[in-house]
Order: sequence, then structure tokens, then C-alpha cells
Amino acid sequence: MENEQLTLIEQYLDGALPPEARAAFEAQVATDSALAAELRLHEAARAAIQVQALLDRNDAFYQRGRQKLKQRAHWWKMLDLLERLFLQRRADGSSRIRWALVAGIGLSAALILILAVRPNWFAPDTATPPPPVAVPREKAIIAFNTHFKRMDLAGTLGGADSDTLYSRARSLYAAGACTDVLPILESLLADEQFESRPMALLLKGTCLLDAGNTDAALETLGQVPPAAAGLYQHAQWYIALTYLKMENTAAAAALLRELAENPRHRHSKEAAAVLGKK
Amino acid sequence: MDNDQLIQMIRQGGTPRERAGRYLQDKYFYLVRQIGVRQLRLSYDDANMAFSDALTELDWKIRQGESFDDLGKMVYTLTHRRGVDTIRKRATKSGTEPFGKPGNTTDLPDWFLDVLQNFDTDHILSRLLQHDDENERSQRRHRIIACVCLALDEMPKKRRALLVNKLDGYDYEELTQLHGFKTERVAHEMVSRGMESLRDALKNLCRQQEPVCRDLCAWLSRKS
Repeated sequence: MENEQLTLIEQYLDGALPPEARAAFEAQVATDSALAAELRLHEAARAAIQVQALLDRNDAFYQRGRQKLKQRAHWWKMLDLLERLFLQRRADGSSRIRWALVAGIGLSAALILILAVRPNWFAPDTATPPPPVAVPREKAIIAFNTHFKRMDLAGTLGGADSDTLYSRARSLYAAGACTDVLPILESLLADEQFESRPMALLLKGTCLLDAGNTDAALETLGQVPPAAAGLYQHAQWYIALTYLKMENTAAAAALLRELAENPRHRHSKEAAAVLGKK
Repeated sequence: MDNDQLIQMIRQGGTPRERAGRYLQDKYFYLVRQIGVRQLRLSYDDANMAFSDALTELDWKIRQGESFDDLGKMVYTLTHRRGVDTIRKRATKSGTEPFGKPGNTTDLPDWFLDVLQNFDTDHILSRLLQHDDENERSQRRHRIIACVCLALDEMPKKRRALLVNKLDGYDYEELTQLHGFKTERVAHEMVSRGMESLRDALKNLCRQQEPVCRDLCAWLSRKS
């Protein structure tokens, strides 16, 4: 078949021939059986491609759908599960929500939420407080000996005081000469205008304690005013040690607990150690 | 994109048709679950297949000149029908393979064979399938499609894809880009050669007296 005729057939099948040419071609087909057979072959080939195109198109939609399914599978399967749980299907295909289940789960969720936010809402905390930590009497003296140290005056105020008597007292205290310090401190404390009274009281109290005069030590240390914040905390610690020395373990334990529970107290760790806490 | 735009794009063919197809698939993909899985209790894969069939059929109908006021409604209806077909096919599956090459016509959905029959009366397949007896018409339909598939199988995949693209409405410029030809002239030449080799394949099948091709070959070789 000549190329020209093949082109004519294609144009005819494409509907691209003008009406006169189309009529002329159809007349030619009616008389030329070879041309008619060729035309039918072209039609059959085109139909074959149409079939293939349909199959390809269908496959393209299917493959793309599979990709989309992969992306949505988890979400859709979760929805399926929720539907199976919360929807009751009837025989006629309709469905109704299982309100009782929804309400039950909702209530449970609310309870869990409340318990998470306010655990004591339903069961107030009735737990008994831990037994008081006490210092065993037989260990009181050991504890005192382990923990008692005279004041470390390094870094405290008053070292370069112009009052030479006070400076001398500090020096003697630092040197451990408590017997010599006490008369000096007595005379200083007798002066009502003396400015370093809290420190002097503390030094006197610790010296008395070191000497074993617990009653006088207790009285002296008790005079350190709370306004002298840091020195007052030292005084409390030494009072507690004084109780230990006196083997008054109940009073010692009460005070030590107070110190141990205050994390800002200078002697909280030592107090905890005496009480046997970590 | 509204209905008219989508219909116009599908009729235009080529890239606009691809875009319209993807748009419809994305927009109505929820029907896979809603109709296929929830209503008809199909597996997700079967539901996807029914939905793909519906989209292909809709595309085909639009290409054949049908118009729809509401594409969404049509996708819904077709998906439902194809889903029901799937259930019916499951229930009546005989397991017989009427042709020597399974995977050709036995895998084709019924609607696919129907649409081929419902070409305009002047179309070759309509003319070929004319027969008074319904059973004979059905057998003939299967044989013709099997024959066509045999001819297509003899072609290289790339050449087949080229011809399909050409028929889908891609112009030679797009074909040149799509298939990596140097010039449009080469694309034109390749399409011509492809069609020629397909015609040769059909002729060969007739020459070899392939059983499934007997209707098609009789029609091709008739005198008038």
C-alpha cells in the first residue's frame, strides 16, 4: 500500500478529511476491496490500542490508589476500629451509636484525668506521719563528741576590730584557750554598749560547753538574738549539741529535726547526720 | 475545578486529562472506604479496584461524548456498581478459563467489555459484536478482545505505550518529550511504525489461524 493511501486512511479515521474528500474516499472503498480490507485493518489496530489504553488507564488509577491507600491505611483502620467499638450495626445496614459505651469511656477518662491532676480528691492522704527521728540516749555523748567543734572564726567579722580586748578574746578563742577567754568575754558582755554581743555570747556559750558547763552554756547560747541570723543558726546548733551533752535526747532530737528540715540552715546536713538521715 | 472544566480537560486528552484524572481520584478517594469497605464490606484492595474501574469508566464515557451534571454523583454511582460487580463476580466465579491466555480477557471487568460494545454503532467493535444471540455475542466479545490482546502482546512495551499516548491525545511535541525522541518528526515516524507493526501482528495472527482471532480475521478478510 502506498504511503499516500495510508495517510488518507489515517486522516479518514481521524475525521480529518473535508466532506467532499471523505465522500470520495468512501466511494473508493466501496469499489476497491483491497483498500476496504486495509481500512478494516487500520480500524482493528486502532481498536486494539483503545483496549490497551483502557487497560493502562485502569492500571494507572489502581496503582496510584494503592499508594494512597498505603498513606491512609493506618488512619482508616483506626477509624474502622472506633466504628466497630462505638457503632452498633443493624440488620438493615443502618447503625446507631453505643451511647452507654461512649458515656462509660468518657466517665472513666474523666476519672483518670481527675486522679492524675488531683490524686487526693477521692482518697485524702491518710498516711500516718513517719515516726519521729530520735537520737538514742546511749549515742548522745558519742554524737556530741563527733560533731562538737568550737567556732571557726576565720572569715567572721571582728578580726580587725579596734576594740583590742575583743580582738584578744577572739585570738585566745582561736588558740583554744577557753579558760582565758571567758573572763574577757564576761567583761565585754557587761558593757551594754558592746557591739559584737551575739558573737561574744556564742563564743562564751561554746567555751562553757567545751568546759562541760552545760546549764550555763544553754543559758548563754539562748541569749543570741534571732536577729543575728547566721550567728543565731550557729547558736541553735550548739544548743542542740548541749542537749546531747546533757543526754536530753528528746529536746536534742526535736531541735535537730527542725534544723535538718530547713535546707537553708547552715547546720542542716550535720543535724541530719546526727539523726541518722542521709 | 468545576464539572465543565474537568469534562473539557478529559476530552482534551494528554496532560490536562491526566491532571483531571488525578484530581478526581484525590477528591473522591474517600469513596474507597465509604462505599467499598463500609457499605459493601469489600477489602481495601478490592474497594480500590472498584474505585479505579469507576474512574476509568467515567473517563471513557466522557471521552465518548457523554456529559454529566454532577461528576461526584457519577463517581459515587459507578463505584457502587463496580463494587457490586466485584461481589457478584466472587459469588459466581466459575474458575474456567475460556481462552488459552488467561490474564487477557478473564481479568477484564465486565463493564470494560460492556463499554467496548457500547461504542457508537459505526465503531469496528460494535459492528463486530453485532449478533442476535446474547451468548454468542458474549463469546465473540471475549474472543475479539483476546485476539486484540494477543496482537498487543507481540509489541514491545515502549512502542505500545507510545501508541496509547498518541491515542490518548498527546500531540507530537508532548510525545517527543515524554518518550525522549530527538525531533517531532522522529516521534511521528515511530508512531507510524508502531501502528504498522500492530497491523502486521494482526495479519500474522490471521495467517496463523489463531482460534481466538477467527471472528476478527473473518471480518478483516471479507469481500465487501
